[in-house]
Amino acid sequence: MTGAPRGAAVWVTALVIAVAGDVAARGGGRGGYSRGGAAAAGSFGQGRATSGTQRGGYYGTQGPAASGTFAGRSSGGNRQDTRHEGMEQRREQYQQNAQQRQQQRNDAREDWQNYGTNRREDWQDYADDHYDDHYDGGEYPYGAAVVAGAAVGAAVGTAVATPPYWTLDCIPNTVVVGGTTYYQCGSAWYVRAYSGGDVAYTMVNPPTGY
Amino acid sequence: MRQTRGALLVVAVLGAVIVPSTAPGEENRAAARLEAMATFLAKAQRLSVTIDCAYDVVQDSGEKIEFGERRVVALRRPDHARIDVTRRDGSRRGLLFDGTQLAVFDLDEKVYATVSKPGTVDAAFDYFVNDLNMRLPLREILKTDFPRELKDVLGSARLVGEEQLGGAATDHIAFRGHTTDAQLWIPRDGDPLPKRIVITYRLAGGQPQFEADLGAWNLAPDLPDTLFTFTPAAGAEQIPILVPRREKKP
Repeated sequence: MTGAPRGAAVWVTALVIAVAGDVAARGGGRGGYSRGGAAAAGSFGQGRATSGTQRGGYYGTQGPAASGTFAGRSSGGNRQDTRHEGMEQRREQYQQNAQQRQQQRNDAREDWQNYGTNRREDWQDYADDHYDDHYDGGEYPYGAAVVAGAAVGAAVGTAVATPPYWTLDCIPNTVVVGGTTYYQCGSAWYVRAYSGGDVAYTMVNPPTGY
Repeated sequence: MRQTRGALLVVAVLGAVIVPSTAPGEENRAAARLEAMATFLAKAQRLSVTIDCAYDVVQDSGEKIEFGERRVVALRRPDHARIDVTRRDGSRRGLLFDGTQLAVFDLDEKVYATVSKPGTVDAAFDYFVNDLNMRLPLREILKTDFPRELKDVLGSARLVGEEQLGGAATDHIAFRGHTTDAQLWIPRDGDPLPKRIVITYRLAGGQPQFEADLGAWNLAPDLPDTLFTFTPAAGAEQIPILVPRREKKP
């Protein structure tokens, strides 16, 4: 996205964990239609094809059409793929925000309570915005996280101030703590989480003992 | 002779302007066909269908890339559903709902997530998409409120033509929504179950399309409870779902 989204969004963690048993987050033809047009030609045209890697690599896989909904709203599709951005850049940003995160965490609990109250209205606003903005795409700012009891939730809940990563830029060291697999790239730690229907990595604090 | 030809040409042009582009009654026929389809689907107590989907993803560069998947849907109303997805790259994932819990799994990533969500399939599907921000293409046609959802667009419905699709005679129907254009092919004979659906996101950059070919419709499938019971695959790890929180407009 090139401009600031009107319906700005932040991300929180919905702790959807079975242990808790509950959701934490909680033409020409008849009818006057033309049969002509560029797409009707079905031609590959004269442009050169661009090569690229398969899904999971260079190309983004989410967008409005991925939602397959008549309403025109997309699930996860509003967020353009961010894999092109340098991981290092975001990691730096993450570190710069480290001091802010503690405050965010403190704020998160309050935010979360408010979230529960406002969620439905927020989503309605989102839907309205989306209708107006016509998939202007781009990244949403990511905000404070939510902490819940279960291990995997706590792991993610401590740091969702950054958007999800679709790939890691290293061959990570993996550590399993409390049933959760942590992925380490340098000083950064990640766990896996669903985001918009796909499995992504989200940055977290190091597991206990690391 | 030349004057006669000119006069005929003028008449022909005028005729083309004056004669309505759509024959009388075709709007009604298109709307009626859509309504019949929606009502039929909404009343089905159980069904299974295989949906071969393809969708465009417009890249940041503007390049349009197509992805696709096969979705095998099993629906036992009011509160059981299962969708198994195989993407073109071979990866397998799915969704199960047993009336109390939503479960999603990814066999290749060896992960799953579960959410407690007692209630109907309709509510679970809406929650899945609107609250959990997950993908569930064509969920509208799987919900019992499909006829009501279609009402707003019936006025724009038009019959494009009668077309052969997969050896079957179909009505090709188009309608416009607020942000999308939709086309459906509904068989002229037998049950009004859609054979093909194309949705164009006309307000999105690059106007990407979602296309689905629907087949293997079965309105009396054998759907035992066990089909909807989620059991994590051996070694699968439970992971959370990241949910977007929308800030209210100032």
